[in-house]
Amino acid sequence: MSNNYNMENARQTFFIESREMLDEMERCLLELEKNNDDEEIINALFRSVHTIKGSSGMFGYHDIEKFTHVVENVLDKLRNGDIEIDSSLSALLFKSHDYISELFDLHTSDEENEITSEMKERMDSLIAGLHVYSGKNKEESAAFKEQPEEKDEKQETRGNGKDYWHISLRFNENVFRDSLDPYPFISYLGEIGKIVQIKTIFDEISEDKEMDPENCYLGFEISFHGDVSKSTIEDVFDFVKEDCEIRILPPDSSAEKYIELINDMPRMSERIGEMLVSIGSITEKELEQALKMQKLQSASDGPDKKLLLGDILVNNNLVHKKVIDAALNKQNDLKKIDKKNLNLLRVNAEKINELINLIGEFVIKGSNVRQLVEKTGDGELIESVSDMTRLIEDIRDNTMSIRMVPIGDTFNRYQRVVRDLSREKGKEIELVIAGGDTELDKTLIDKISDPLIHLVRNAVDHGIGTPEERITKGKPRVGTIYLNAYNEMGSVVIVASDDGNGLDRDSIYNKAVELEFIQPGETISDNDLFQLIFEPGFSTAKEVSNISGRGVGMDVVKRNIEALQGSITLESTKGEGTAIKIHLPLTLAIIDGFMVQVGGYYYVIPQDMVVECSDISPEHMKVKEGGNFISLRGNVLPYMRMRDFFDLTDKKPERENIIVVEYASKIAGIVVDRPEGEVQAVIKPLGRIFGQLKWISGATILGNGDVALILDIPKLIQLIENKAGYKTENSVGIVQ
Amino acid sequence: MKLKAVKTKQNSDIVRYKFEGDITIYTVRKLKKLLMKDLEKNTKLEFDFQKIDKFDSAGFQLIEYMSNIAEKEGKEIQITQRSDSVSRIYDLYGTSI
Repeated sequence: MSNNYNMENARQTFFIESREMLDEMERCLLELEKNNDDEEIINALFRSVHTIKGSSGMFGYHDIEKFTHVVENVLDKLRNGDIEIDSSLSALLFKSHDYISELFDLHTSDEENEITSEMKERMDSLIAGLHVYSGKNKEESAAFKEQPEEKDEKQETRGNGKDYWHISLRFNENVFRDSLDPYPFISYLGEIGKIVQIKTIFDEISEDKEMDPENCYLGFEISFHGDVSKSTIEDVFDFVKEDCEIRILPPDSSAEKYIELINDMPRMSERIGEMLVSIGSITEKELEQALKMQKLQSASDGPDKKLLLGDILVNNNLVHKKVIDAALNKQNDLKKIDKKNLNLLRVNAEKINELINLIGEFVIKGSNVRQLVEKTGDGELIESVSDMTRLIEDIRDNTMSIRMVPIGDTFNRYQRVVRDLSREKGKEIELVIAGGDTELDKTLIDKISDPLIHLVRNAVDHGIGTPEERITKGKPRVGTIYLNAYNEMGSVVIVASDDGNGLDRDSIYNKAVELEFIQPGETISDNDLFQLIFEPGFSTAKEVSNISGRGVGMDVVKRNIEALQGSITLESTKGEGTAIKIHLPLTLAIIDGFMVQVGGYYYVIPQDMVVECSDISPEHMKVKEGGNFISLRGNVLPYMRMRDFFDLTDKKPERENIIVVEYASKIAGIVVDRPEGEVQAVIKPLGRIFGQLKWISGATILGNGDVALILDIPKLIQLIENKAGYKTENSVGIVQ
Repeated sequence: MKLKAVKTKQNSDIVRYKFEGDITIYTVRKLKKLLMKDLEKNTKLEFDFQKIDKFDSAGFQLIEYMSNIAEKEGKEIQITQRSDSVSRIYDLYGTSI
């Protein structure tokens, strides 16, 4: 692997992570609009920009580095409480976010792009705006002279002559007898700096003991001034360290310096001790000692009373409390970041696809082996193969779960869309997200994002009215759009709803008549009428806006979702709101299937959609002949005989079986010759030639090499409904 | 490594010592015995350290200890003269005397 290759990899990771940081920045900004003094969020905001600045500098994208630096200065002021966020600063930061994002676009595109003069102008005006907040004038910052400035400040604080190192020394009794004298060490301090004051301390000698002049009872408290590091001071006493207790407390200004260091470290150890050592606030030896003390103490007092390392360090005057606090904050921050990043491994999606394909083959071969082994009747062999089969299932499930990602990140991205659009439209809208941790196949998430954004835009544009409109209708001023996701019967349901005006039945009716979807005067249920808006060319918006209303939209949304084996339904109540419900399969690659046999051929029904399976006596069927309903424990169930569907004329078996399936809250029965049991079906797409066959969604290869078709249950349920002339209950409901 | 002390009685309660040699870890044990005995009998001890050759932290510790004891008992220890080696230590460590 060449260095170039590694560099390119790192660069890709940098881009991905920076995008994540930008998302984080946006999220924080949105959050701050609601809650403008939340320190955590301000800190997170600062960190995201800080990280972008740091890493873009590292990769040589100096334009990004320079610009983010200006943003960072403002955020630093914000963080220190020097300025407060208001709507104009917030707008400025949003624009800065977009600008950074554009810079990234520029660098990630394949072509060598220069910054256009338009962008340059925009950057200048942004920087000018930011400087108003960071309190720097333009000339100063044009050259980005940050470094020297900082140094000046530091020297000033050091030069005030008021803060000193505090060194505390306690010698062991034996130090004199070991032919060691503290004097030369202490006096050496005078050579690396200035000893400001020494206080000599005598240990108490208990009255019953005589003072032994050869014992050492001396201790020193030294104020020391010098531009040295802590470990330099510690090194002075290196020779007596065995006979001496040393505590070195840095000057106040160093405490500030340490805090600064802690905040600036992009990545450091998560452990407080190591963190403090790495910035030089404590030395390795001090850490060792403190850890020893912690151990001893918890051994004597019990583990539940364990002292925190930070407390030990402060109590023993090793570190300023302020520094510990800063370190603790940093630790918390790191933990948060770690939750998000550290345990993640970035893998090329291609590799996972390959793995899933292999697992698919493996599953097929596995069931082949199982069938062969079952024929041998060898008990031991059958047992171990069945163990193996279980393992294969686990491997399959685990592999599939690699592709599953929570949908929350996608939902969160719409916050900005809602914010920007609603402002543009003069509306006040809040986006409420629920079920963000519902997991969905990554490919599905990528493909669902665009249709969803369309639905959200629609809700902002048409669904929810202006605050004035809403108030006259007796609704709260601020409209709400809900995005919710949850699991249901082996599929994922995403509901996008709003508390807006609802669909206007009359105008949709008129439009439908105009477009000849229905005849004038035809009665049609609200529900059926509303589904027409998914038809191509159907738009009722009075005026075409840049957001929606061009008539391309809902039909495209529907097509996209059906391409994902999903379905979309809509329910709306006038004046109360609209809810759009999307059903999506959990995954597209491997499913647990239920195999049935009809006329000697095998078919697979996705297991998750199977509710139950029971046999029906011929008499039972006869009674109901002519109708397409069967009474299942008192409930009316529309059904279809697959034999009739396939026009099979051979002799049907004496007893048939009915498989009850459910999808998107609709239930139907499918009558088959014989249920065969569960299989793991690796879905293989069918060629185009089968494109016309609406009732199959794919095929799978059985262990013995036979092909079984996978029934498209949603389509079949629809077909049964139509044949039966009966609509099953279908409710969407507005999620509140 | 030798310490010589010339003791002169000033009056009934005051003893003046003129030391010659080293007051170090090697001599403090003997010196302590001597000084403790004399402090019992007298109210003031005067030390002349002009001729002290080596003076270390143990020496410093003993002298400081003695003067603390004296203070507690309402007595006094005074250093009248110091050699460079004594001053060196006292300058660094500071002193109560």
